[in-house]
Amino acid sequence: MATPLLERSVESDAIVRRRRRTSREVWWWATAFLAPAVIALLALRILPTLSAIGDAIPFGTGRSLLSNFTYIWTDPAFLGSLRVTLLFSLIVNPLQIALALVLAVLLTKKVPGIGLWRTLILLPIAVPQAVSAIIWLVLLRPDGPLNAIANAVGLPSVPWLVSPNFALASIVIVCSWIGVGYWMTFLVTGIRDIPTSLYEASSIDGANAWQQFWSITLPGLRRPLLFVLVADTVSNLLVFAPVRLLTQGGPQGSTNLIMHDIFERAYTLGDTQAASAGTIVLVAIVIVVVGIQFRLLPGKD
Amino acid sequence: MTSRILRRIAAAVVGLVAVAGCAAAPQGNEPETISFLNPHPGAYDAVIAEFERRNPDIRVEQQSVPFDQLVSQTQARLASGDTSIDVVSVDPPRLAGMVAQGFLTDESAARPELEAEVSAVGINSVTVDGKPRAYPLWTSDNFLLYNRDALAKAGVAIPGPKAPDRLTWEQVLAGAQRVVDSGAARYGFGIDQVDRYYSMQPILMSMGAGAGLEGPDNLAAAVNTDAWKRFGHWYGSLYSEGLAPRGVEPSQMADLFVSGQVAFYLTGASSISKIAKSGLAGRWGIAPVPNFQGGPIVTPTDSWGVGISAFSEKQDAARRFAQFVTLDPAGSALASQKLNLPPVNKAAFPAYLKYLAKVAPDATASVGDLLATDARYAQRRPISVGYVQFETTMNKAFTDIRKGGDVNAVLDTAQNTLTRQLSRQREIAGDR
Repeated sequence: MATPLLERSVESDAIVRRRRRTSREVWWWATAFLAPAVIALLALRILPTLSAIGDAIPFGTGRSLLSNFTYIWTDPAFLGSLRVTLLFSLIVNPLQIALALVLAVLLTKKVPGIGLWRTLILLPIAVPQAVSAIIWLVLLRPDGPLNAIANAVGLPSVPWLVSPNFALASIVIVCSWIGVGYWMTFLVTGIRDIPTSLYEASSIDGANAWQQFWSITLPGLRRPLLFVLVADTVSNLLVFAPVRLLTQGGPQGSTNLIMHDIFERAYTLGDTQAASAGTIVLVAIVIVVVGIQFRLLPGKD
Repeated sequence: MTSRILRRIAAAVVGLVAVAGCAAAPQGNEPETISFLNPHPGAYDAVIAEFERRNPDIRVEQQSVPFDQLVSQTQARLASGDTSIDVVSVDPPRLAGMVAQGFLTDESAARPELEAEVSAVGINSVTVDGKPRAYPLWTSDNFLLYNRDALAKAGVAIPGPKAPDRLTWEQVLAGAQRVVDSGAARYGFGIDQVDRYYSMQPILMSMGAGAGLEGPDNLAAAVNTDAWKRFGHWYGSLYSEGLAPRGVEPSQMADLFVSGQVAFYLTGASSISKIAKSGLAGRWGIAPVPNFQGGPIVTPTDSWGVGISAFSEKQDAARRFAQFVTLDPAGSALASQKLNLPPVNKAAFPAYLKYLAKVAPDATASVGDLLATDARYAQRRPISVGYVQFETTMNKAFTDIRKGGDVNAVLDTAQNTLTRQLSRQREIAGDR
């Protein structure tokens, strides 16, 4: 039976009202849920960024607005910290990701005592970075346990933290000890998401473990690998605690990573203007590196 | 859940916050709480307890941070105008820089009391541009401690405790070498504040080098002169030849000495209590800080004071506490116990010596005379608004030399870094 025109009009008004109310409620809920994040973003990210820009550009002082940037770009210490950070990133990121991948593959196989291995690998995540650094400070001392073991088996002592040739390698080791287990967990989850039927089918076709890794595991891990690559790179550009506690940027500037350089300028030397300029340079580097990584790696199915 | 329910929840939360706010509001008779930022955990516990007993209207809350973090904490918090610090420990050579940044109050009004209660050395240590900018608490000196068993085993003569018994560095290092060669201890010599300018300056200057900063307002670096390089080679060789432990941080040095691994140990009075209570008790002694043969005797001086933050909203209470710790003989004596540093309060000094005699009667018998004699040879660290830059750069240079860096290259780099940093200091000072 056809609905009379008047009734239809009343009904559609009610629908429109309900829709409006629903729309208002959606907005209200969306605002309520988003507000904490937006406020936190404003307070913890946007305002400090604006403040850093304000510090870095010396308005109303009579100095050139770019004078702080000119200063750090001509400062051998800052340029040295950029060089060290670049070298560190080129070593530590591939190393950590490769190790995390190897461990993830191993820990998703049927290995005896798997629970124990997983616990041991994940243990460093539970230890605060500062505590990890202090443990390594003792381990890496010239007369520390690592050299004692080396000497006991007839190897010479290694000048871990005292030689410019070894200090950066020591920081790489400490950061990897802290980080590899963490990145591994993302890859383990990724491997578990790959259908086992693919491995079974490839086994029937006669594929060996290496071929399965290249043809099934690696392509299947594209997304988690991209995430790990980006997040690991950013985290290693921001490494601070191990450097502060183990080497303070030395010997001879060999471990003066950019975060440590910025910290020293701001909080030891009291030069917040140069530190803010350095921070802006660091943020620009992070944005460029992450942008390149996103472009280079296929992130879509 | 509808928006009405959500609004009710919001109203309930606001109500709860309001109630909590009322509950937390200070009552009229509650004590005023001031905060005290310092790098000496435990050192002020007794003096704060006594201050609070005498001043029930004030409560002192300590924020003790590790020594290495005090500068960064002070810089970060006071530079942002943080009002949550009322009283702060002040290292005298850093005072000029803190004053230039507007961190500390002018305490000129207390000059008569300062002159009545505190030694002239103490007042000098906290004076910038003719105005007292903090209250001086301690002075300092270094001593040469030794492990009696290690020296005896190696056939090295036990040094005398008095000023005329002062050894030369040449004698000390020869003895240290004998200890290492004989196997009586693992290391012949160690420095408590290793790589820190405070400990290096007397050795450098006894070798004939300058303080490192010179010119008007001490804003010109001179750290790669021939004498500085001579010192660098001397310092580096201590570690490259195995006389002293390479790669051990200041916080771990005292443990090496008390565990019997170091024969001679250059340190200050702050180590006395720890060593007296350790397994080495009764088997150690104190000798005067050495000088180089033919070189002048140079000893360190100045120690911590307490300043009042210019951003504090409770400056009157903060001032009462700072004055109790430094100007009141009882407060000053209590504040000098845990760390054993000599107070600059004239009336508290005898009480300090009595306390030392109780802690380590044999070892400290001549310390009072030694402190009095060494005051004649005391060299202050350079007074400069660029001292923080200077000390930071030089401490790193000393570390690099200790770790085997090329002395000439390290000191040339330090000179260039400092020249650049001090020039930058002048540039940004123009903004203030």
